[in-house]
Amino acid sequence: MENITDILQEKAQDILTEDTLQQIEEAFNKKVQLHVEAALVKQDDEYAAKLEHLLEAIDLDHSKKLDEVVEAIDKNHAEKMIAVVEKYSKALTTEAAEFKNDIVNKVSKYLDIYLEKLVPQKSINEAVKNKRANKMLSEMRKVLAVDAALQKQAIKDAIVDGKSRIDESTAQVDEMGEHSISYPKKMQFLKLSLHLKASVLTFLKTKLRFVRRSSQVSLLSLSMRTLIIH
Amino acid sequence: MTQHRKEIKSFIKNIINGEYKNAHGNLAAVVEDKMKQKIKKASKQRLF
Repeated sequence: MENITDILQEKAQDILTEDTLQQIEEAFNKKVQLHVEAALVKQDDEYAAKLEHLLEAIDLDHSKKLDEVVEAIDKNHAEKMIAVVEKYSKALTTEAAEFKNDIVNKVSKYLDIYLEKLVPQKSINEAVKNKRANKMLSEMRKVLAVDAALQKQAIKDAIVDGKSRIDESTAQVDEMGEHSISYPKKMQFLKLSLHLKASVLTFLKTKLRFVRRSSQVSLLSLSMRTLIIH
Repeated sequence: MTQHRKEIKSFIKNIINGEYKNAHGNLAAVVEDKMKQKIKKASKQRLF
């Protein structure tokens, strides 16, 4: 690019002196500088305004985006926190209860196995059987009246002998009872006949015969009846 | 069944808390219950 002094030297070489050209150049340069500065200031203002606008827009956009990001992160974190809370609450309620039940069952089983090893069910069954058999035997002894003394042969024979004697005595008593029933009736008949004998002594012989016959008949009939009854 | 489960729960709780005397009592109750069950089971069988 050509300088202003060079241009003026070319166009007005003979008219203007070197000093004038110098002055013109200085003035021109000053003016140009002023214009340039003014233009730069104006440009700066414009650009500053534009930049401010741009920054505002960028800020707005960024703040919007950041809000969205924060919202998304909050949502994500909240969901995760809910999942964590649910998991731990479940762990505290159901899983802990399951674990507790499991532990209790295991301890119970362990104790069962240990007790089975220490005192087997078979031995307990046998002991219970023995105990019940002993009890039953003692009850049977009580019911049948059998004790240690009665288990001896000599005492057994004595008891059998005693029993046979008791049976004989019972039979005799029954027989005596039967006789004791028939004797009072015979006594009554004898009394009656004696009374009749005494009363008829005063009667005449014919009447006496008649009465004797009739009494004999009645006695005979009575005795027949008693015989039929017995 | 439920009684000895309760006793086992108390036993574990007492063991955790370091109350060994009470835990011993719980364990004794559990063992007694189990032995009673065994005897009851044995008494159900027929002699003849």
